Amino acid sequence: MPQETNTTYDAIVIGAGMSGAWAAKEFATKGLKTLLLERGPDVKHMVDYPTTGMQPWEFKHRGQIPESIRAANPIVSRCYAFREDAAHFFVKDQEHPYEQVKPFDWIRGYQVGGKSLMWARQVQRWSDYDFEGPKRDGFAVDWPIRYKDIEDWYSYVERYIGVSGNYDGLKTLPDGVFQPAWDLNCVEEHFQAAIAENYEDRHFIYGRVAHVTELTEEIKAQGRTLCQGRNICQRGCPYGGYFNVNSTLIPQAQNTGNLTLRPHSVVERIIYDDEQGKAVGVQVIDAQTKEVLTFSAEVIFVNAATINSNCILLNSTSERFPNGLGNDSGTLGKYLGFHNYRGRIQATHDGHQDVVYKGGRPTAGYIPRFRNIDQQEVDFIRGYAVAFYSSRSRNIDSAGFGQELQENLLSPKSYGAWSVSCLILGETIPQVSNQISLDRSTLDEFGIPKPKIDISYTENDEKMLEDFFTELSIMFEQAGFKDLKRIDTKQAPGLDIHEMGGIRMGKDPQSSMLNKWNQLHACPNVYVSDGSCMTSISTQNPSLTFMALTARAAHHAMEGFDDGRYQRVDKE
Amino acid sequence: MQRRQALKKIAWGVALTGILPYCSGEPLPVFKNLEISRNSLRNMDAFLGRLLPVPEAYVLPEASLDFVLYMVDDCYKKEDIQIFQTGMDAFFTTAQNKKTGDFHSWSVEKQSAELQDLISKQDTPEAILFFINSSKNLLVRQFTSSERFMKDELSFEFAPGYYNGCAPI
Repeated sequence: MPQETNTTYDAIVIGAGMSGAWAAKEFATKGLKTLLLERGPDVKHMVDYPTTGMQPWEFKHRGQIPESIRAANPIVSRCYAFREDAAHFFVKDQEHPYEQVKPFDWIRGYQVGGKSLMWARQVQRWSDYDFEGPKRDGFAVDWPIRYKDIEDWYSYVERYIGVSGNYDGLKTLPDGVFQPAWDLNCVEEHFQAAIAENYEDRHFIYGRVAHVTELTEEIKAQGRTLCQGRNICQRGCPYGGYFNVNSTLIPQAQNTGNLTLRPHSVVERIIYDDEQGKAVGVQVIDAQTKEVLTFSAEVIFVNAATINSNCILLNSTSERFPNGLGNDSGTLGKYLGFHNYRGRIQATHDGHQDVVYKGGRPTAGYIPRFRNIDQQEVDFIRGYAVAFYSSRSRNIDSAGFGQELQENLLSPKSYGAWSVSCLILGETIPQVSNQISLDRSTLDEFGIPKPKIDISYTENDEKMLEDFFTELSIMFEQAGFKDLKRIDTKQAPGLDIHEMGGIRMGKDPQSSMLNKWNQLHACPNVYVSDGSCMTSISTQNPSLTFMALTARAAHHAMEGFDDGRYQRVDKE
Repeated sequence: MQRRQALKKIAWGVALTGILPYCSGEPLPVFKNLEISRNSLRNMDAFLGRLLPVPEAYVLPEASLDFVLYMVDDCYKKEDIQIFQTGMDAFFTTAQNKKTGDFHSWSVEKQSAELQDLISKQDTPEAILFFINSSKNLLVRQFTSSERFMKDELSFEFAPGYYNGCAPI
């Protein structure tokens, strides 16, 4: 890393992942001198996707993780995407150890691009059934925003990232700016029809997904092209067929000349100046040289992903904030939630024997939440959405050995029965007992206190899981699916990779950390707009909402440079 | 790449007809867990050839001998590697005790008969069956994930660019 020639910026963004890259792009294109800090290495689009062009037969272990790696990394090995083709994008267990008060699988991607490189790309909007949930059902605190506050920002983000979807007209899952959807397959259409026949309030839709199916001018300007349906997105896509920040926001921000991207930069703390009454910069440790550096800015965005953002604020103590930056309410690091992905049902489908799907498609079926929508109707609060999968593969006869085995393997192949399955996407309640704290007695290699995570399921989650098993079993049977197997994976929280909260938004500074613009109530030149800002969890995959909140917050901060709240470093 | 693989394939083909692998000063492969001598490699190579003879038209990315042994060495749990090792040693020792010379020096017919005998007998030790079944499963995995098989037998497309959800068979 060359010697720093500039340490003062208009804005500093901590974290070059899904949300941080949005802030950096908005600032840089507006002309603000912006420093984007990332604790991991750089990942350049195309250049740093080492496996993207590899055929299945070119992997030494055909995708499998060697046992020595698996044994050394029991946590990340439980992640479905930690395979031979993408393991290099995941944080290994010993790279950044943490304490688990209760089992918690913390899945991370420390690099430029963060988890946007390997995410599942499902993008559904929230509705007021979600934003009004805490107030109606009496948990957490009331969100300081409603759907109308974020609706245009959803559209803004969707146009940019490219979202393939159908206009379904559902009140619980508002439509967005969509590119054409791929087809449903015939079994999905069958299940969709069976649900429509039996329920008025349950719907089966195409899972909206951040993939390009139409070359709009905005997408073309990013240098991306159509998704090819390869279904190996976690390796990085040379087509830019799915949205990650490496192929879009970051190069666009860099092209302005206003962005300084600094990888290998571990943020230790945000510096608060008691006299000025505001945050004035960040203290960084260079991960390669261990040098301690200080950068200053008028505005600081914290987008290090939920747990690390919590840790940074907790570690940012001062005379004014002895319990963590902005923590007047005492809620910092508390009220975390996640998604309950424990339940699955597997089954077979005897019908549609004469058809099969061909080609590739990056999404599947989706059943939006249907429980407790307009009124409380069961003995748990909130609800769950459901992901639906169907597949059919050719039978491979591997009986015998020798010439017989060879002939069997090469014999004409019939198709097996359709396999169908579904997965609960359950909303959890952010409990005060779900907490992140710092173990100040144990320091990591940078001298920073180790994260301590205490998050667990509740009785509400167990009841919701049982309801999922009951209701989806009925729906499967109504569709004629057979041989149902209910599976409770008992997986620990964290494996959903949707941990949220700890720096929640709210109306009241006494019970929340952030205001409606994602500013710390008590330190308004610090914004937090990644998953940690979430007041409640909902059922939808959250990245779209993080992105929309960040774009909205960034524009609010930029207005501050226009109205005199913040001062530019280079006044022209 | 393709040419190198083809040459390797030819070399292995030659090996099966008399010139054995790792026989002319070629360094032995290095395994982290498996202990395997030059002679055992030759036996193993012959054994794998009897389990699944690969058609001439199939160019595999690597020799089956290398694939099977590295997969066991890299991806099996310690206890399973131990059973595999025990079964492998016992298989070739048992075979050697029955006939004259090493397994790899037998005729193809004798090798196949020995394999058939061990598979069908009721009292074949578990470790030997584990060794045979593991080797077979890995061979099938290598074969069915080969370019030729995936394209010809499974209609694999790397970047299809389309999706038809209801295609008649």
